[in-house]
Amino acid sequence: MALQFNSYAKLTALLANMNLYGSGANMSLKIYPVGVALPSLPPAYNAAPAGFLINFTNFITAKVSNQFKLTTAPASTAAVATGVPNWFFYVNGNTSAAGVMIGDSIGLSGSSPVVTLSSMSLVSGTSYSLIDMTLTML
Amino acid sequence: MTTNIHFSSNMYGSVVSAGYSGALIYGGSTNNTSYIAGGGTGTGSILNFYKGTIASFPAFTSTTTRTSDLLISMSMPAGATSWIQVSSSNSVRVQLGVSNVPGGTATASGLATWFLMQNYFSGGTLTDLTIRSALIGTIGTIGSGADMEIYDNNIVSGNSYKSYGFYMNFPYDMTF
Repeated sequence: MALQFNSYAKLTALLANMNLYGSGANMSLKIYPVGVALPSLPPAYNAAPAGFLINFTNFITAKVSNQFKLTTAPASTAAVATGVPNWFFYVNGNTSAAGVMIGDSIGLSGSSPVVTLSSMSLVSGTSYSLIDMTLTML
Repeated sequence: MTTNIHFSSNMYGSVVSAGYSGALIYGGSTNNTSYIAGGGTGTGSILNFYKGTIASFPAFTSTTTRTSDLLISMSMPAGATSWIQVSSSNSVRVQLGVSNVPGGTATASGLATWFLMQNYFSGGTLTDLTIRSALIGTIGTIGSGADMEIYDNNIVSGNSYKSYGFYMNFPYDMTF
């Protein structure tokens, strides 16, 4: 069996200290289409692949109970390319200490994805919203 | 919905830390109820071996419920001497529960089947697992696949034991 942590360790020592959270202009969530391959390892904080559809910036994420959550959403943002969202690149800063998370869970409200968008069919030049970002950790 | 997430290697930088006093595993000598390894002399953490059916979190909230199954309790050394961070390409990997001297004398005889490693900082009741970090795992003999493998898990009262610990991985890839 796997080791079991108690709740105190999960929330106070583990989740609270993971380098997942942040705020400010250097927060970035880039959304990619299926035509750009999901990397097998997270790229460096400053090496997000080219070809993204939209880049949300300047938002706040935090630990809320046992979840990593978007607590202040970014402004609506115009897509820079047309396509269907397939995976995301998240980074919480612009230094080498920034944490990077990539994943393939993107969808609309109701499907419980990590990243919830206002549309799953993006058109270049049209503005879209980041509705939610939630990762239930433990 | 299954979600595959991949974290960068520095995500756990403050979880396993030589210098961050809110960490789960800490290399310093101050005290905090968050540490499961490390911390100050005599108040860092302990490693207990038990017989019987392994407990389960979150129901296991107090060690007093399993006092009758306790075989041996070892105090872990302070600071960074009870744990070793080892290299891994796909996880932060830590060897925990290492006693540098005979860690303790068995107070009862029996077949050790599970262990508890818990914070032992004296702020609050030491048996209360709702106010301090703790983890549990299985014990078995070498090759058993248990979380902690030992040469002979038949513990004998009065004998002294030391621990070479067990490995814990924080993987970069997670499925939620």
